[in-house]
Amino acid sequence: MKNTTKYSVFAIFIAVMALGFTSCDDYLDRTPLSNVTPTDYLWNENDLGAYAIARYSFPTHGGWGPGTHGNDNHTDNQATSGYASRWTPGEYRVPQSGGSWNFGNIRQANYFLETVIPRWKAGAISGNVNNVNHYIGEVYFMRAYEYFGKVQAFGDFPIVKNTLPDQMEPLVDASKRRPRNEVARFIISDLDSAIMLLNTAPPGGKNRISKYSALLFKSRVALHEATWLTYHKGTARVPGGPGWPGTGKVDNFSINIDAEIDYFLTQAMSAAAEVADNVPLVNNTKDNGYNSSQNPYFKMFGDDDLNKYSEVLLWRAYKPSEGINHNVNHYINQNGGNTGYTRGLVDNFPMANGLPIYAAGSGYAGDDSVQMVKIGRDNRLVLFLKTPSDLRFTDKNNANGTPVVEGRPDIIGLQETRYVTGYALKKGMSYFAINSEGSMGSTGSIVFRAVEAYLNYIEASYLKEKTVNAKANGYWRAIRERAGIEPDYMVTVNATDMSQEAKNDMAAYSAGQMLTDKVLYNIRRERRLELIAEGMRYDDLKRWSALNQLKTNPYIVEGMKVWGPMQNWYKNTDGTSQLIEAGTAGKTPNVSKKSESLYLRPYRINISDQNLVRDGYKWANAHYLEPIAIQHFLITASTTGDPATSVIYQNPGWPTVANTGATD
Amino acid sequence: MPGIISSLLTWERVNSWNVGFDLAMLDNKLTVNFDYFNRNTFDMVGPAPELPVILGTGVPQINNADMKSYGFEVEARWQDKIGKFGYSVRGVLSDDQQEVTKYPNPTGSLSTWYAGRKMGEIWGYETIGIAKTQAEMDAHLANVNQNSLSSKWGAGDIMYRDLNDNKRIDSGSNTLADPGDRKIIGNSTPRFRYSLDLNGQYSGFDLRIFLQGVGKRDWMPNGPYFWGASGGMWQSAGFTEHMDFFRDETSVMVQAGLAEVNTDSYFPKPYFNTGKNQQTQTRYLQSAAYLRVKNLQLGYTIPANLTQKVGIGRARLYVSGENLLTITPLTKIFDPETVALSGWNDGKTYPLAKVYSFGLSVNF
Repeated sequence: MKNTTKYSVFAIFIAVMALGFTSCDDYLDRTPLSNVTPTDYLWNENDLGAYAIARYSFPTHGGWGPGTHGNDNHTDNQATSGYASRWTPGEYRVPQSGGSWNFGNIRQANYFLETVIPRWKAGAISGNVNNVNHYIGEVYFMRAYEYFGKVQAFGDFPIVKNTLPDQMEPLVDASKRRPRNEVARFIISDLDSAIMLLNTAPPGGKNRISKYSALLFKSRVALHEATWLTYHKGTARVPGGPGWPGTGKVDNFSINIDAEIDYFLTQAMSAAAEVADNVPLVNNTKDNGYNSSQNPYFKMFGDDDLNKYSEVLLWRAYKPSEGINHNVNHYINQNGGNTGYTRGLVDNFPMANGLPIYAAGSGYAGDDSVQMVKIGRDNRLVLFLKTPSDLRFTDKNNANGTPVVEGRPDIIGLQETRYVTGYALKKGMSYFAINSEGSMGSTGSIVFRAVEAYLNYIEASYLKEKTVNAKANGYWRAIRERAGIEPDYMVTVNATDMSQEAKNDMAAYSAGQMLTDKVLYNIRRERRLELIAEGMRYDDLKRWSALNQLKTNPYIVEGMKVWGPMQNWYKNTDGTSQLIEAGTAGKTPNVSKKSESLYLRPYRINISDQNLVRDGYKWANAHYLEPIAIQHFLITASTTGDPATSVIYQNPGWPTVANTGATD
Repeated sequence: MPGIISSLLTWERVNSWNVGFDLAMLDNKLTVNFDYFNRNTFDMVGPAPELPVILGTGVPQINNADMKSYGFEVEARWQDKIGKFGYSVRGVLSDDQQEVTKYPNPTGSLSTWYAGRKMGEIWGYETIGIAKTQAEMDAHLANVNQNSLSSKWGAGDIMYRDLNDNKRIDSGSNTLADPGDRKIIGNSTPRFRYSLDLNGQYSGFDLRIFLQGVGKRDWMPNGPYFWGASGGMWQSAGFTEHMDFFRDETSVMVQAGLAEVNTDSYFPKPYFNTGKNQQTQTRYLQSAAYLRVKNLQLGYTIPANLTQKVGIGRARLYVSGENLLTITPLTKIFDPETVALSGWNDGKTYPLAKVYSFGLSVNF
């Protein structure tokens, strides 16, 4: 009896122990309750959709400033009070570490594709097939989008299609750059996959990437590569060109550059036409600019819901009540936003009759005031240039019942809100008072606009066929008809004087030579004028190789004619002027010298030698591409500390010494 | 996307020894405790090793480092009574340092650990001084090119010393083999932390003084609170100290008659948005050592025979003050105790207050 008790106690003990161990094992094997584990993720439509939208990295409005409308600053279109180091050779330097040479977003896309594609092929992804396909298409698109940024930054770039292991050798091997045309072809093949999978009406409306977005973007990529190869041909910035740093470092290399150009132009044309033939332009009621609140073409840039505008292919929505907001109208409506159009851009707009302002009989009224420059001009200038007495709000009046209107441009005010050139932006303006409050911006931010496809087609087809074909003719007339200018572009072409345009427009040049083809020049002009304040300008100037001439002929930014009658706008009540010319002893100047130019020169106000752009925007050809940071050479070098032994090669004109400027 | 976790991740091993002694003498009036420790951590999980960034995600951490920690602590206490006066003195002094003894860093990059690195090292330039005139700067630039840091050097700007004699000032490849013109100019680890606690009682009165401090600590301040003019209109400050900036006859404030010429200034010529004069450098390296009267309290206990008549066991009146006095060579803009606390630039943190309090505590 006694023994039995003993045994049963022992048995219970064993049993408890066994139970203890099992539960212990189970506990360790449990997946975290509060986290999603990789094996449980990306099996259904919702996971795919959430993963894809988290990859969106488009430039949109945000923070303090005029949003995407400020992205053309530091070009010949638009200026802010500071300057970019790219205009001061020697100051733009090879970084020690970091830079655009990063692969975070590429790995994100690769992880998705290598996880999801096998499951998708096996039919293991649950949910609506159409939507599943669509989300996979979005990730192909985002990989292409990311890669396009790399081609723009560096040209040649490693092509990585899979996630890589954390081991030195495979990583060094994968770091080898491939020629830029091959990278561009890779982007196009990703976009072709995307186009095949994406819907024209995606779940979530036009806040998500659609088939037309992908087609538009494809035409952008193809045109970019075609024009890069065309205008940079014969330099080290083109694969196989003289002095190309990839020589001897790129395996299996061969190129027929003219065939590549033809291929990319063809791709650009077909993709662009598919968008332009299916997406009509938004109507312009061509008002006089006092109150454009009912004009769809104007309102498209400053409305809360952009789904109703056919031309908008992709946009971002805001909701201040949920903390998603911007400050575009805190600046664009209220003040100058520390930006402004250049005189070069304003003077580049022809008259509504199609003639350039300098042409005989153009009817140009002169620029003695910022209002006068709008008289009889291309309606786009009338709509998107903010001038005194323009209406600001439709839902609020002054206390005495009069409408709230724009005042004189404050060219001498606080930097943050200054009218840098006197020519103020109006693209993106909302007439609702609430949008002008801090962090209450609710207007949508456009990512892709279909008119770009029209422009891409015109440019690509003209380069390929050396003539404006019937389709391009139709597109071009449609753009001009909508813009409020004589639709017959030949009126403008025939009256164009290149030497006059060269004063206004960096794009009057390619590879240091002034263009002789006036049709081509006017294609570029149309693009410039249609896309003002949309952040496209610098990329266009780079692909056209339109900056070489600045090496010998720096560009001095000018604004409005401050030393004409407008100087009377800046007087105290006692009649003394508030304007202080550059170089006035004992005072901080706020305008440039009258003796130098009647026009305001924002970079000639501070003329001390600390102002590195006081002699204008200068250039080094190396700046067409970004330098790769030294860290990336050192870690991939076969001899420690010697960048020359790395599998990576530096971009032309850039040294492999940190903190040094371009040599060319 | 999930990050990479190394399958090699395992336990760290620790090997430590210490020696110490406890001493009590003179009838426990004097007690002394001393301890010296030395701790070696092997296979420590250090910063992830550097790999080509084409990996596209954070490099997983692995057991790749060895580290040595060593230091001492000594505490001494004296307690006695002279007639009706009772007092005690207690002092504590401690110090510790950490040094990396092994870490794989093939390129010798200074942005991560390397064998022999002490925690808190400050790498910086050596300052020759502020050029008082353009001619002085030009004479300096004739020998040394400072253009890697910025261009347009003139009166009021810093002249840096060319430590590696290559005629240019820069940070080289930022590696041990090529640190450019930088060297270890200090260490931000607080060393020789001490405190002193003094207590005394005399017929109902009691007094406590508590002092604390740090014996040695280097600190390189950053941001607008130190430099004044720094990051444009949103990131600049103007404290009294900042008026000691470089001004010559060409300065706007001098020309406008708002300030005197000041060529023997502490701060260089102010600029917005350029770090040319604000490099980590010997001239502006601060000592954050300090001694602070952390607490001082004076109390009086009303004699029990008086309070017991009204049914109160013990009644004590006191006045107390915190953070009453700080002795430090650090610039007065910062508090040495909070100098490294902020996640932003230095000084952007909630300050320690000087607190006076008085009160009555009653026990029934």
